[in-house]
Amino acid sequence: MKGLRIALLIAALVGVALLATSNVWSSDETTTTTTPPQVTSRAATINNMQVGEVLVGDTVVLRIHQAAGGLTPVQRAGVVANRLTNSLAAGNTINNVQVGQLNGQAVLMMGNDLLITADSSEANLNNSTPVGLAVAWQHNLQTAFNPGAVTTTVAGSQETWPAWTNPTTKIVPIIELGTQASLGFAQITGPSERVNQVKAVLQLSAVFEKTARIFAFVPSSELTGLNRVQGVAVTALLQYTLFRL
Amino acid sequence: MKKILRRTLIVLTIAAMLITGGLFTGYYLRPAYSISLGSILLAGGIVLAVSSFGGQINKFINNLLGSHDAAVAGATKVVPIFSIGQGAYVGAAQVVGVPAEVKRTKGVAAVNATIGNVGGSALIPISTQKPGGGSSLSRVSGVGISAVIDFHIG
Repeated sequence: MKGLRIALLIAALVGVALLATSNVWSSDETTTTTTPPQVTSRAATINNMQVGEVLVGDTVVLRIHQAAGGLTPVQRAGVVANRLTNSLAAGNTINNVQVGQLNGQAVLMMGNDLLITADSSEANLNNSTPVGLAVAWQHNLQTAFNPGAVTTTVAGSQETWPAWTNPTTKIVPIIELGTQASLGFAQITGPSERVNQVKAVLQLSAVFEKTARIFAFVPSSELTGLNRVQGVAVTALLQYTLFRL
Repeated sequence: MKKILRRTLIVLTIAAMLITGGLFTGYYLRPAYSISLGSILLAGGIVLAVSSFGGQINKFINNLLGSHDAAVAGATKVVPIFSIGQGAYVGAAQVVGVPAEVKRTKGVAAVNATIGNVGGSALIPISTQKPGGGSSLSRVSGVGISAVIDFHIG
C-alpha cells in the first residue's frame, strides 16, 4: 500500500512537471496589451477576412492573418504592439530587431524579447518562407522607424562557386545592414575579377535559440546595398571585435 | 520479494500511462529541442554544440541569406573556431567554398595579430578541429568564412 502511495506521488509530480512545461511551450503570445504612443494595432478586413495589423505611426509594419495560442489575429497584433512598446521602453532600439530561431521556429526578436513567431501558415499566406516573412517584417519595422537608413535588397547573381585557382585579397569596410554602421574591416579572398567587384562586406545579424548570435558576412558590389559577389569570402577581420579574442 | 515486484510493476504501469498520455497530448515528440543548445553548450562546450546543432545553424543562416536574396552559391558548413592565442574554442564559423574543400574543413583557426594600432584576426579554415603542433595548420585552400557564431549562455 505504501508502494502504491509512493508511485502515485511520483506520477503526480511528473504530471505537474509536464503541465508546467506545456505552459512554457504554449506561452508564445499571452502578454497583456497597453496602448503605446507610437506603436499601435488595429483590426482590418482584407478579402472578407479579419486580420490584425501592427502600425508604427501610420505605417502598417505587420499584418497577421492567423489565430494562434488561443488568440485571434487582432489580439495577436495587440500583443505584438505591446511587446514592441515594452521592449523599446526597456532600452532596446529598432537596431536590436533581429530575425532568429526559437524552439525550431522562425521568430522576430528585439534584443532577447520575442516579438512574434513567423509560422509556416502565415508565411504561406504571404507566399514566403517563415524566415523570409521574419526578414520582411524586420525590414518593415526598420523602414518605419528609420526610413533613411535601410538599404534596398538587390538579387545576387545565380552562379556557381568558382575554385580559387589564383586568388587575390583586398581589404574592405564591414557595414551593418540596416543601420549602415561601420563595424571594422574585412580581408576578402577570391578570384581577382570577383574581388575587384567587392566594395564592402555587409553584415547581417540574427539570433539562434537565444544562445547563439550569428553574424553573416556578404561581400557586396555596393557600399550600402546588398548585392552579393559570388566566389568571394572573408578570410580575416580587422578592428572588429570577435568573441573578445 | 513479492512486495518489491509489486511496487516495480505499479511504477512501470504508471510510467507507461504517463508516456502514452504524453504522446497523445503532444507533450513529447520534441526531440530536437528537448535538449537545448544552451544545455549542450554548458555540458559539452562548443565542439559538442557545433556537432549537435551545426547542421541546424547552417540551414538557418542559409535561409536567412536566401531571404535577403544573398544566398551563397557554394557549399557551406558550420565548424568550431579555435583561437591559437587563447588555446581554446571561442565560437563557430560558417565556411563556404567548393563542396570537396568544404567537406575537408573540420575547423577554423583564429590567429591574432597587431600591426601598429590595427588589431585583427586571420580566420584560417583547417582540416582538423584543432591546429596540430608546430607551425603546421593543415590549411584548406579555396574556403572562406561566410558567418561567425558567438555562443553565450543565459
